[in-house]
Amino acid sequence: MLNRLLVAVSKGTLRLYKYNLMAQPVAKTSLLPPGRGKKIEIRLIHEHDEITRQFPRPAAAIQARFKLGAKCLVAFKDGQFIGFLWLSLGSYQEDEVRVRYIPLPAGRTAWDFDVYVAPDFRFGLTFPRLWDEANRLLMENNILWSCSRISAFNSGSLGAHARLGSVSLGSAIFFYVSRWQITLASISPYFHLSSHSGSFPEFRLNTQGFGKIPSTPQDKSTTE
Amino acid sequence: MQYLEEVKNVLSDVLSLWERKNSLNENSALLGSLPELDSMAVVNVITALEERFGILVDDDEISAEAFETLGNLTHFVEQKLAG
Repeated sequence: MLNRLLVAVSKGTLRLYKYNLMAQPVAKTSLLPPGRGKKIEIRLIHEHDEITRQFPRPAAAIQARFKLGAKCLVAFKDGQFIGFLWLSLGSYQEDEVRVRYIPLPAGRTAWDFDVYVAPDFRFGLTFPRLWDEANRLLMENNILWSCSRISAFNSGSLGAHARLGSVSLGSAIFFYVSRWQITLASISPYFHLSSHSGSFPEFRLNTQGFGKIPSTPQDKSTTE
Repeated sequence: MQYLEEVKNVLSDVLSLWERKNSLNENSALLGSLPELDSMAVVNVITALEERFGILVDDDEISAEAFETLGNLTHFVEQKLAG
């Protein structure tokens, strides 16, 4: 809302984004009780899948994500598109602000982004079903942690990720004055000034040495 | 509503509302008003209600409307009990 206010007042020349940088352990057990969520199908799609036309995202952004090697899990209910979740098994070039996130250790830490659930299906089982399949995919790739950035103003998402056992890695503010991006962060490089898209800070998000990966729902609560 | 207090207790236990429980009544808004009640917590609440009342809730019955207010949630439980 603060960003929208700034944009409105400045006619687009001022923008502000504040992100919390998080890491959550890849859960080895289902987030849902046995039998729950079976009516929701989750499918890993490719870039030419027709379903992408129903995504509430610009087509160019979708294609760019696939070209960067991102993976997309899509949720369906009775054949209807109801949500998606994106994963990158390597670094991630942000498409909203100028930044690159580098999850570390490479090969053991991934990046998750843009978890979307259609409005009519929120507060249902779609979110945990998406994460169950995401965790399964990540485990298949020997990934132990997944990092993400969450808007500091999105208390709902922060809360949901907390339930997934997320831990804070730091925070970053991206302030735009026309074409200039000023980055202030609690982690290195702490400060960055960018005047064009080819100039961006890189945040190395290291999960090495983080605590024991929860293997049961009871264990999970100790990391929240 | 016969089971209002019991439903409130289940909700409070699952969401760890502590003394905030005392301010909840039939018309208290839940979804959107209780920050603890997100999509993950909804599943936990449903499971706890199933265990407490011996009811079975189908996936398709989990709706935002049922969680709109404490009264709605209680009414949902009472309908399930009535068979």
